[in-house]
Amino acid sequence: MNYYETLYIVHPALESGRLKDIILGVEENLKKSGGTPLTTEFWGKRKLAFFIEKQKYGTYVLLQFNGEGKCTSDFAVELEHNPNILAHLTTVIEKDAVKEIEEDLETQIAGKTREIEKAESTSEDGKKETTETETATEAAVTELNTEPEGTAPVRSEEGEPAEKAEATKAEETTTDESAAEDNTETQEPAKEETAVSEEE
Amino acid sequence: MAFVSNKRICVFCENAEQKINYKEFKTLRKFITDQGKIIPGHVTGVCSKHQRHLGKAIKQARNIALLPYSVDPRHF
Repeated sequence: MNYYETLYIVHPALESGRLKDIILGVEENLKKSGGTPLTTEFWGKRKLAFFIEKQKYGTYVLLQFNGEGKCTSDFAVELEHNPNILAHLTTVIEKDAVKEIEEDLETQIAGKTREIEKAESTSEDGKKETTETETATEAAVTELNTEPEGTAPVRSEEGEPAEKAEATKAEETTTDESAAEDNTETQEPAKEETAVSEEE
Repeated sequence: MAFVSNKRICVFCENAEQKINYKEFKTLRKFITDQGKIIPGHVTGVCSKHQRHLGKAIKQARNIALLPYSVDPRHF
């Protein structure tokens, strides 16, 4: 007598009433094939890693049972022929790994559906928060991108950018001075100064 | 200068309680790339024995759609 567990995916469109019937039907199939079901754990509806029979989501159910080796192959054939089951995986487990779940199947299904509804509601709120944070981060990034234009030549300690920065500063100061004074005679020495700084 | 060893210690050898199982796909997700490939042991530091168990568990998890076989890099 060996211990096994089968994880199978039920079609996501099935609701709690029909889902329970299908789970009980699977247990009956197992009994027919020679196994004795020990525990059924309802994992709930979750997103599949890839599409199975054009379905994005699936309801996972874990069934632990014991029986002879032959019962697993018969049980696998039964699961293969069940159109409501998308995929299944049977593995050998040790006796210690058998779980003891006190909750009924109905309470498990009801609890998981509530959890999923809560998770969906929180995820919607989370999405709104993330969009707000994303906009804030985008704004910060744009600020960071705009800042270095004026500061980059000053930060670099190499010769050429520093000279350019000095030249630009000189130009700015001269233009300010020229703007403050009359724009007739004072512009000529300022232009000379800028020409000298550019030559340097 | 203090002696600094480059030898990596296996995560599963350190924690004997942490068992490798296909149902614990959240821990298995650490040992696959974004593309869905199994990361080799010499990169993650997992010993050869546990790398074998990891490979088996990841393949079982893929079979039941808990982990992806491959992810298109355009969807990152």
